[in-house]
Amino acid sequence: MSGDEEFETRCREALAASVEAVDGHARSRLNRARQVALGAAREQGDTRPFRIPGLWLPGGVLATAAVLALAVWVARPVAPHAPLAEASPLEDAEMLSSSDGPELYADDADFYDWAGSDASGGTG
Amino acid sequence: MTASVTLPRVGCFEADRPARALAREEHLDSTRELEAFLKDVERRALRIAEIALRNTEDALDVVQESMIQLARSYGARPSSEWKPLFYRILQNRIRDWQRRRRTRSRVFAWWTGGIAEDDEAPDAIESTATSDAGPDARLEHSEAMASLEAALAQLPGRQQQAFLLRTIEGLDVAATAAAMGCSEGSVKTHYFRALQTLRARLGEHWP
Repeated sequence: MSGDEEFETRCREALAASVEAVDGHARSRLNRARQVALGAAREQGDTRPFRIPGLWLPGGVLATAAVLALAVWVARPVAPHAPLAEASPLEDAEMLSSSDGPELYADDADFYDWAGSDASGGTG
Repeated sequence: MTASVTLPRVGCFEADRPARALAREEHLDSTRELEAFLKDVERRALRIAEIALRNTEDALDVVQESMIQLARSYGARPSSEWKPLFYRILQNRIRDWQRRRRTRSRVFAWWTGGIAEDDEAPDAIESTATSDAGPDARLEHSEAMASLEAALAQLPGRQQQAFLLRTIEGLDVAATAAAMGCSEGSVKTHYFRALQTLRARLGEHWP
């Protein structure tokens, strides 16, 4: 055995003896530290499926896709149910700005229907 | 009708149960494995930290922090990876602790208006001899251990790390390199220099 190896062996033995000689106080502290660490591992294990980075990605993609789909749906152009030409904004403005209240039009709705049909029919 | 609706649900639940039980069992196994690992390394880790920090209480804190970080961050990794990871964490914690201690002593020296403490470690022989809970005080061969610790404390940080990881923990060159975050060639160089320095300081007839 060379001098270096012999010295190395002596060092190992001395250090191993010092490891064995760790006192009760330190052992007790180490035991507590280990329990705390294991508690942390258990907590981590309970929530692990949500913490694995690989699982965040599909979840994130799905959430983004859902938000985009919602945004597209909300912002889509609404198909008109009736021809816009019939609802002239000018007529609406005239009606609103006239001194007659809107209730007048409601009260005489039958008259206006008749007058409208007469005018379009051209009969008198 | 109700039974025909209920039964398949119970069937599904029953089918899930073994999978969940299996997952729980695997987790318990993993926790037991981690406990066995920590129990195995804790005292050697304490000695490494104690020699590097020359204070038992600080060393205990550092070991506890390292255990918690390993459990939290790497508990799910294969157990074969734990040892180099644990010692990597431990070395980083020791370095952080030493840095904080230096900063504290500088601030203290500035605040008290005294002469700033030397950045170098305090006299190793003196501090080893006054260590309140050092194992050398509890051992009959305290003289030999004290002089070895003193010599180790005077080594440059990387040499000390390489030497302690290889002699106390018994890591091979590759695992030491992984724990230290350097190449295997560097580990060999640090270890060889540490050995030469210690031999020169302690003398041929030590212990």
